[in-house]
Amino acid sequence: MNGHGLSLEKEFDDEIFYESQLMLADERYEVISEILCQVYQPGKRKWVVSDTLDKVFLHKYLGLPIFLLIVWAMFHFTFQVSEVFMAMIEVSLIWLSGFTEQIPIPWLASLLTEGIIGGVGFILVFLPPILFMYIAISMLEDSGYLARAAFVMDRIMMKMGLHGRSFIPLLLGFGCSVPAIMASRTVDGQSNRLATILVTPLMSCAARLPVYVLIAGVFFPDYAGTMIFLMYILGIVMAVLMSLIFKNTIFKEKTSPLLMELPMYQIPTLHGTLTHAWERGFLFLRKAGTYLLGGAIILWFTANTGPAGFGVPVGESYVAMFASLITPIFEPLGFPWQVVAALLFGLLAKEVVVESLGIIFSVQGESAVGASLALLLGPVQALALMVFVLLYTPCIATLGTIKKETGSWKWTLFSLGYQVILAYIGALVVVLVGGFLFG
Amino acid sequence: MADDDTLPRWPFLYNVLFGTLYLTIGITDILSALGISIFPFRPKDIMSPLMLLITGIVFLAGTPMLKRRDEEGYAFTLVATILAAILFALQTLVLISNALGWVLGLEDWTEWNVISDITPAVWLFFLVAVAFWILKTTNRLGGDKGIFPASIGGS
Repeated sequence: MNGHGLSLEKEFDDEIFYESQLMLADERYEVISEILCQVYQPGKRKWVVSDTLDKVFLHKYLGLPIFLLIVWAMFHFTFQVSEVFMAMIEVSLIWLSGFTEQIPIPWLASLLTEGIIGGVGFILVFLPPILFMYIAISMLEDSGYLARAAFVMDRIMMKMGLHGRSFIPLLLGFGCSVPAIMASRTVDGQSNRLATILVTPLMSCAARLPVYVLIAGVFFPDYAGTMIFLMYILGIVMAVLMSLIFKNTIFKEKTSPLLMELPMYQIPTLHGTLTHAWERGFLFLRKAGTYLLGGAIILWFTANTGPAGFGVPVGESYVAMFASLITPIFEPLGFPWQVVAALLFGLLAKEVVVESLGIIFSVQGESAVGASLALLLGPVQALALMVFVLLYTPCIATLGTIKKETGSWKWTLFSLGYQVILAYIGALVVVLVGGFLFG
Repeated sequence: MADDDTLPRWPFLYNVLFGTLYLTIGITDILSALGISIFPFRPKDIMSPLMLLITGIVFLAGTPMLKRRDEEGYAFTLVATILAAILFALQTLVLISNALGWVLGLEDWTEWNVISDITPAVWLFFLVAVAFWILKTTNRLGGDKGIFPASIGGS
């Protein structure tokens, strides 16, 4: 009874707090309208298209389904339309590896074919979906809808205990976790900001996309777009869920509603959209040409070297030895050592997961890597792998940014630890439920 | 907004017709995707028909306002038409990219045929576009009032 009373009291306090913020906003607009009445002579009433559209896009009940429709369309576009371009790049790489394989120096042929083309080249296959996703995000941003999306989600965020402004860093997290974590500086209150920093890496960044595209294309070919969409939705759900847990346990601070000026709707220009997409695509290419290339060479070397020297089978390499040490931990998830090694290297950057698989399997092209993966995993384990990749720490750069933004090793290590545990639990739930449902 | 008897009835009929069409096809396709087949063809996934369903709901949500000739109802007409256009554009792009794969003779596209990509999102939008164009050119969307008034401010 007493507990119920306390809960009612808390609910009442929250309601009063929320209402007071809304009253404050109302009061502010009332003052504005009083000033306007004195200085502005209204003419004939105008039909403002932006206001008209907002009646539906920001509708209390329809706003969220419309947001889901638009996000689904974005991912469907990203995967389905880019598929043919991915296949074209893949065919080109297979054609190129036909030449490099014939180089008379075996180690050089192996380095170029399995290390460079099988590693970095394989990453390039995923350039089209990344470009297409940025085209879609850029169109949404330029049209003015992205700001509305923050507004639509705000009501849910508030209910879940997150600050309204947290949605902006979370939204940026779809692109890259590093600037997203930096954007959390705009969130009011130390606790709110820390909660936002900790949950932002759960939003699915673009670097995870190649992993989803590979796995969904192999194991769920008819539902690939939907599976990728579901991963992004799961990322949002987990971020909201974790923030709810954090706000009710370690961070207890009041959240305030989102007050923001909504821009007018505009038709995105082709030039603006393509420029934004190219800027992001160029960053991806630069990343591929620098440390993904370096990572591929190191990975190729360690995958070909073992206690017996250079040129050993991959199963006897240092990579296999090291991964085998921790593979028993992943046994309940059904991940073999090849996948565990790829996940470990994935801590450098998520693109490295697919790069590693290409090098470890010593094959070129999405189809060949997919076929090798299909021999090791079933659809349930593949889905568990997607969930694991979604939830575990995005990359070292993200951890560095968390350290810089929080100024604390404690929170950095907490972020790393909770995400790995969450990823493990999430993947285990998929395996257990999948095993129960599909035997 | 105040009800206005001078506003036409056509947008109400437009919303009812296409709301019902999108909703019905969305529901039947969801049932087909779940294995409860009504028509011989089966959608590739459950999400596409779900999006048709959402579009249908947006069309229908505006009908009570349009019935009382409340201008606010036009917002639903406009947004539902935009959503229908997004689904159409998306499916058209998928069709074009698949056609490109087929023309190039890529392995995964050898058995592709154009019929498989002409989904309800495509042909339903053709009907929407034709109806919208007819109503617009015959000035049945409200003339200087309604969806395309003479003076549009702050577009």
